[in-house]
Amino acid sequence: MPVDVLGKITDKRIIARDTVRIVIDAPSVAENAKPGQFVMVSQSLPTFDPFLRRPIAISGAEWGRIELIVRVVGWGTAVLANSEEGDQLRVLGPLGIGFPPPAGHLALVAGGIGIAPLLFAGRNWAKSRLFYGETTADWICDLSREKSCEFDIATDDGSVGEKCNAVELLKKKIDQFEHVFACGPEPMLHAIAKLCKRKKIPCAVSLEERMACGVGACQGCTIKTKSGYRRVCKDGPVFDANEIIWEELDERPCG
Amino acid sequence: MSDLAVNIGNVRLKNPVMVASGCFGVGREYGELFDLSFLGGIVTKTVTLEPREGNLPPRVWETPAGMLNSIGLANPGISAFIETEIPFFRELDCAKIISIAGKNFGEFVEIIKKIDALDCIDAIEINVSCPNVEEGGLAFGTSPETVSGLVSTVRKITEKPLWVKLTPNVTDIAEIGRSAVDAGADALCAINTLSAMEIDIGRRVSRLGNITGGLSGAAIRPVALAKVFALHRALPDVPVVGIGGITEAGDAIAHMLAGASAVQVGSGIFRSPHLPIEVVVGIDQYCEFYDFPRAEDLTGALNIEE
Ligand SMILES: Cc1cc2nc3c(=O)[nH]c(=O)nc-3n(C[C@H](O)[C@H](O)[C@H](O)COP(=O)(O)OP(=O)(O)OC[C@H]3O[C@@H](n4cnc5c(N)ncnc54)[C@H](O)[C@@H]3O)c2cc1C
Ligand SMILES: Cc1cc2nc3c(=O)[nH]c(=O)nc-3n(C[C@H](O)[C@H](O)[C@H](O)COP(=O)(O)O)c2cc1C
Ligand code: FES
Repeated sequence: MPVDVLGKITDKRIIARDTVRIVIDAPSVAENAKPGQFVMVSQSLPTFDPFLRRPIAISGAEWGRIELIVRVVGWGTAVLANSEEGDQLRVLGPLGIGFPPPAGHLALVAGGIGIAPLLFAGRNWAKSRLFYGETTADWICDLSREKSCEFDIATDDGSVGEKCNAVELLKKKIDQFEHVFACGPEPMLHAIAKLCKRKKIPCAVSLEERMACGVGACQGCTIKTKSGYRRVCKDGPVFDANEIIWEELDERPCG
Repeated sequence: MSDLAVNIGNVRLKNPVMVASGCFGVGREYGELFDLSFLGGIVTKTVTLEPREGNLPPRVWETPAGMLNSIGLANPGISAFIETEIPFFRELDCAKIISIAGKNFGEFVEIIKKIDALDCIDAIEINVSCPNVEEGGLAFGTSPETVSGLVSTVRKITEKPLWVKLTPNVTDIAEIGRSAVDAGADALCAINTLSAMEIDIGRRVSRLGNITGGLSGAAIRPVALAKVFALHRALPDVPVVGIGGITEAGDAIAHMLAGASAVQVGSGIFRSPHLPIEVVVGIDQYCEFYDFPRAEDLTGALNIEE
């Protein structure tokens, strides 16, 4: 069950360009959190700028604390990233359904900030390997603390790791895995879904959509799936890749 | 503790705070966060005769101090609603209002025939003000003749209290309100969202899949207050339910001072799920502090020198 609490920031550090890792003391959120779930976050002060909370994946939960990784892409994320240790944030969660229990060896494929929910998955399921793609080295999150899962890194310009993208990294080793979890830009997810379909490996993808309530009440975040409209916040954000009508997502007029 | 109970016609609410249509489902999700019996009432998402998938995504977009939505009345249709949602809804310990919309008078009649027998429903809110559908919706709510025709048609087939939800997208809201009341409406709810849009100038596209949508949130509060005030002034004996831009208790009190007998909280809930309860507590504190023994005394208690 989700709760709405004020949580104090106990640690905040920059882990990549425009990207911070924020640890929040929120025991009632942390104790129920599962990899793939997210929280709706805002400042504690009642300001109208921004008006709505922002959905942010839970990238870790232990000792009564949750960890978030926030990349600044606009004003809402800037406000969150500028809060300091000791500040309080309003946290509603955990929300959404998490990743399914993996069917054997697990490949985690992250594109950009899609790394956030997959770090939690990597810590949770020991038999996993992370394939992490970014545009360039500056944006790669510092993973030196991640002890529990092995990883391969790729950048588009080859500034760190291999010069390719996350999908190509996965392709080379896909036969070692029985399940794939992916989060990142839609074209990447689509490519992974196709690859997994060909290889007959189950694949779960975590999607993003603009949200208002985050709890399933407003129908604001729906996408069209093979079984009809589904709310990303409540019926997702994790979906079976076979359920997604990729053409619908690709053709969206804006977003 | 003041007496918080208010009456909207013959519907008694334990306090003046309801949640607005489309912002709360039937309460399932928010019911996981707090006890729904603290609410004065719940207005369901608008239900139509046939199921509706709703509009193309994106369906929401944030704006200065508010948001746009173009949900498009996504709902399972009245028969499925009765089957899947009413069993949950009927058990709730607060006033239960069902919001309905139709493409034509016949659809409203069909829906009311299906819900008239449900004793758990305390009132019917007629939505003639949705900016996000092509037929019915705004097209009905901007014409006094259509509103009058619709309300008198449905008045003939149900004894249940009829509340009519009005759009602010008109020159004279009181004229529309009066035509609803003359045709038999028991209360007026104001306001629904304002027609609105935002544009991504880089890609030269609208921010919403449906191109246009409805504006809600703090940004519309002053507009809503003026509409409530206009209705109360023109029709002092008709209960008005104030809706629009409530994000703290003071906003709800302002609605009541402007003439509302009760309020509905909408998109403010997305910022703060416990907002409706904070508003109940805040109204109580205000009544104590300013010596209003009953919350209903707040209605229209605005000092005006003319
Ligand atoms: C379930 C879920 C989990 C998420 N987890 C994380 C996370 O762990 N870390 C993180 O940094 N971000 C995450 N996001 C994305 C984050 O919510 C958006 O970046 C944020 O809402 C943007 O707000 P803004 O005001 O900074 O930007 P805006 O000014 O609103 O937008 C800036 C840019 O971001 C895009 N954008 C805005 N909102 C979204 C959204 N909901 N989904 C996708 N793109 C969006 C816009 O199209 C625009 O290009 C998640 C989104 C969802 C739906
Ligand atoms: C996401 C969303 C969905 C809505 N759906 C409906 C609806 O189905 N029927 C209706 O009468 N009003 C609907 N509304 C309008 C609200 O009930 C309310 O009139 C409006 O949002 C103004 O109040 P607010 O400023 O408190 O949000 C919706 C509003 C939002 C934000
Ligand atoms: S954001 Fe409201 S239903 Fe998903």
